[in-house]
Parts: sequence; structure tokens; C-alpha cells
Amino acid sequence: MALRKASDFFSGICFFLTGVGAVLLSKDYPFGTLRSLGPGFFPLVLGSLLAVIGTILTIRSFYGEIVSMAIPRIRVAAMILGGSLLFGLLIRPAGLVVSIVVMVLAGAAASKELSVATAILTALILAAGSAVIFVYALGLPLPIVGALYSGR
Amino acid sequence: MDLFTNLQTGLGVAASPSNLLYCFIGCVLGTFIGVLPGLGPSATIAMLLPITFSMDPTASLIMLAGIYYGAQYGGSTTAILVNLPGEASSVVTALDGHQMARKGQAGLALSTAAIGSFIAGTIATMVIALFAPTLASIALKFGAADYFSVMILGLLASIVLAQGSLLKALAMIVLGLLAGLVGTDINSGVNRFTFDLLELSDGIDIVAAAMGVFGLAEIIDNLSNPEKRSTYTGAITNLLPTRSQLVRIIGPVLRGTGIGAALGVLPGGGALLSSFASYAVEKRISKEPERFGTGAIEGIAGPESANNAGSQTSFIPMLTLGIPSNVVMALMVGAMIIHGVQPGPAVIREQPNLFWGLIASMWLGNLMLLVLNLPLVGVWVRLLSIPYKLLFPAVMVFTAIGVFSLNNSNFDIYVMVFFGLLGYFLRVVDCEPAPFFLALVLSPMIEQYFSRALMMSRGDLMTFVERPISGTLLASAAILLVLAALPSVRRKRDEALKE
Repeated sequence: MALRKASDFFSGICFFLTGVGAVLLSKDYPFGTLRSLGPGFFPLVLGSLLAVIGTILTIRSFYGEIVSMAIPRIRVAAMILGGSLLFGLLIRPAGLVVSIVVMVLAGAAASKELSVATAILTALILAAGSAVIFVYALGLPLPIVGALYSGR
Repeated sequence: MDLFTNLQTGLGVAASPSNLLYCFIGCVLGTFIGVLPGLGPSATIAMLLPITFSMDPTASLIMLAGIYYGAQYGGSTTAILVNLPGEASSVVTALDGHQMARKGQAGLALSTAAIGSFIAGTIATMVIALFAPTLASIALKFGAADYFSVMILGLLASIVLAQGSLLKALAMIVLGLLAGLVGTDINSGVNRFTFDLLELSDGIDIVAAAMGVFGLAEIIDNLSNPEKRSTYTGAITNLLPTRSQLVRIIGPVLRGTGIGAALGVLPGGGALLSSFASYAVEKRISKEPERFGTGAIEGIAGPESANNAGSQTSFIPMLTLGIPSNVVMALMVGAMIIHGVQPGPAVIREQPNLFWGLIASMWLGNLMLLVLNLPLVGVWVRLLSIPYKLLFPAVMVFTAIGVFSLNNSNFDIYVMVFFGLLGYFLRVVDCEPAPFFLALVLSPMIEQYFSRALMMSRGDLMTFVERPISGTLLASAAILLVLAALPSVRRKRDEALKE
């Protein structure tokens, strides 16, 4: 028996685990009756349904014609998501300018086409532009330089 | 006539200098992001939501709506000139539009798309003005069971539209419904799936989720698959169609408008389905179907009219029932709630200026778009020379600032990153994120109406079948699901949805 549809297999396993997890967690919530539904009713029903669908998908992935799956680009995903995550971590302590520069540089590392000089220039232009547009022109309450520098 | 007084009120609101300006800004932005591949209306609207906080609710809805239908216009320009859909709903336009451009008929293809869209937009606006009030008065009679069933119909319709496996699309809906349960249960006050995170007790912020699933995940996707562009670089001449060409496109335009207007109203419908359906119809009734795919003008006129009509009439369920039929409408609901307007049948009566102003602005916006897209097409074409490598860092910045500004919260950024990861995973395993997101948004309402309906029927599940409106809706949902599962229909669907 060989794996024929990798995407069905991986999604099936994940759906199954999520469904089972939801069912287990829903044990803490009262189920209620049909006449007066408790907070546990929907989680239990939906979790079980997802687990069943996941099981079918997983089993089905061993049959039928072979369908190839796209290879996930871990590095690209890590750079884009990591960059945004850094923005969230830095925005309060370091402020808008620093967090945008860091985020854009991380994001730029995801693309092979951007040279270091272009990346730095893009980051600085975007940081300065955002400060002017969003903070000065539109008045969004964002710290331009963060608490770290203002000593708050 | 009541209708004319209402439209007059609407025009009065929409034609005020500030609203005209916002409508114009929306249309320009919409065309802009429509032309740029890799940047869609959902991400743009989510990015701009925080900026609209300080605006008047009518003005902000007028602007956001302009972005949505403006994107349909802009998307066709890219489809025709670059053979790359600027928007998903322009996929079929690329089939014949780019072939026409290669034959030196780029100008004709562009004007056909713009004129078709304009006619469709005008008619669809009238359709909304005529039918929305009627539907809203029917909706006032809707009970909890009926609301539940209409949302189920919407979710199942979005399965039928999803590409690929039906089972996976169903899993997407169930997963979305589960994710929508996160937070405090309104009835019992129990915190569900919050993992002791205080920030999750209000539930998942839908804008942050949308930016992750549709913003970040799309950037990753685009960077992983470097695009192959074949840009048409020749001069664009003969923008105005001749009389005989006009006669030739009027049939497809009107049929496309009808198809789009009808399918747009359906929950789960909208611009995408409409354009596919119209292309299929034009090919079916054509005397020379073999011309399609090699530059048939009908293959542009029909779908382009249909996607514009569909994008406009998809406002109907949102404005009359408060139920979003697609991702953009879900964000519009979010925008209305931010401004203290509860979408639903009461909007027409309680906020006539907002309702009719929005509708009238759509017509004015379509007029602006016709001007923006035909004489100024050269400006937009130059946009296409912006490389994606310079575009995506800007999108990252706008996304992050937009999400952070929603509630001034770092946590929303983390939610966005989580959903970005989820969205990318779903793309890798061939699952469509749109049904997932729609289910996430509808989930709290579905649970509430389901439990309220059962409370009123004293626990009798038959209430969903026995009530005439609810029964009809559920029966349609069942038929839809059976049809989609039939092998012959599935093959047709796969063919139609295939790029």
C-alpha cells in the first residue's frame, strides 16, 4: 500500500487531530438538551464531523490515481510570517520605524530577487512613508519611536 | 413613484462633494489593486478598515464598495494585456481577451470589458433598488429557523464553487465553524477554545484572520510561484468599438448581466461564479464555439458583464438579511458593525440615507470607472511594470499597520500570523480558504439561530423542515449538494473552474 495523494493524507491527518482535539476539549462544556443547547453541543458535533471527514480523507489518500503535492516553501513562509511576528513583538517597545525596517528586511529575505541594498532602501522608504501617511496625515495612534527610547 | 423618490434621496447623498470624493478614491484604489495581480479586494478592504474608523459610516461604505466593484474593472485590464487575472473573477476574461490583444485588438477588448461592465453595473444597481426593499420586508418575517437555513444554503453553495475535492471543501466549512466558536459563548458565558488567553474571549478578530489567510498566505504563495508574464506591449488603438461591434456584444452583455445579477444574489455567489457561468452559456449558444479561446469578443463581453453585475447584486443578501455571501461582504459587515450599524432588514427603514446613498453611489462609481478605465488605460498599464518584489514588502507593511490599528493590539498581529500559517498550509494541501473564512464569520450566527429555533420548537428538529421558508431553503441546499456530487455535473464543474 502506497501513499497516492499526499495532500489528502496530510490534510486528513490534520483535520482528524483537530476534530479529536475539539471533541476532547468540549467534554468540559455542558452539552445541554435539544430544547436548550449547552455550549458543548456545537463543539462536539462539529469536532466529530471533522474527525470523520479527516478519517475518510486519510483512507482515501491510499487509493486512486497518484496526485502530486506542491512542496511547501518553508523558508519563504518563515520569513514572511516571522517578519510580521517581529513587527508585533517590536511595535510597542521599539516603535513603528524600527519594527517596519525589521519586518521588511525579514520579508525581503524571502525573495531571491531583492538585493541587500534595494531591500534596505525599500525598508527605509516604507518606514518613513508609513510614519508620514499613517501617523501624521491619518492620525493613527502609533508610536513612531517606541517606549524603549522615550524612557516610558 | 416610491422608487424614484428613494433613488433621488440616494443620489442626493451620494452626490455630496465629500461622498463623491470617497467614491472616487474607492474606485481609483479598486482599479489600482484590480490591475495589480497578487493584491485583491479582500486584503485591501481589510487594510483600509482602520482608516475608516473616523469617517462617516455612509462615506466609508461607499468607498469600500467602490474598491470591490472597481477591482472587477481593473482585473480585466490585466487579464487582457498580461494574460494573468488581476482578480480571480477575471480568469475567464484572460482566455479570449489576451488572444484578442495578441491579434492587435487590445483596444477593442478593453473597451468591450469596460462598456459591458458599465451596462451591467447600471442594470444591477436598478435590480438592487427594485428588489432589496421587497426582500427586506420578506426578511422581517424570517424566523430563527429561516435564518439558520439561509446560512446553511450559503455555506453549501460556497462548497460547490470551491475548486477541487468536495470533501475537502466540506472539511473547510466544518473547520471554519469550529474556529468561529472560539471565545465566550453568548448564552452560557463559558469560554470555549480560548486556551486561557484573555484576548481570545471576544472570539477571533475576522479582519486579522482575513489578513492572515488572504494577505500573508497569498504573499507566500506568490513568492513561491514566480509568475510568468507575457505582457502585451504594443500600442493600444481603436478604443471605441464600431456600431457593428456594439451590436455584436449587446446580446452577450445583457445575458451576462442577467446571469450575474441572478447568481450574485445567491449566498456563496458573486463575481467569480457569474463570470464562469456566463462564459459557459456564451460558448454553448454560439454558432461557432470553436472560436472561443482564440479571441472571441463574446467571451469577454459576457463574463465581464456578469462579474460586475454579480459583484453588485451580492450586496443584496448583506444589506437585507445581514448575511454576507462572500469574503468581501463579510468584511463589509464588519465595517458596518464598527460604525454601529447592525446589518439586516431594518437598515433600509432606519438608515435610508445610508442604504440609498450606497446604491446611488454604485451607479456614480460605475460611471467614474468607465472614464477611469477607458481614456486612462495607459496609466494603469504602466502600473504593470511594478515588479512584485517591490510590491510585497509594501503589502506586508500596510497589512501589519492595518491589523495593529484595529484594536491597538499586538495580539491581533499574532492572530494574523497564525492564520497566515494556516492559510498557507491549506493552499499547500489543496484546500480552498474561502469557504473556511465564510464559515468562520457565520459560525456564531448559525449557532445562535440554531439554538433559538430549537428553543421555540421545544427541541423539535422538524421545525427546520416544516417551516415553509426554511424547508424550501434546506431543500435547495440538499439539491445543490446532490447535484455537485453527481459525477457528470462534477466533471462539468471541474472543467469550468479549471483555469
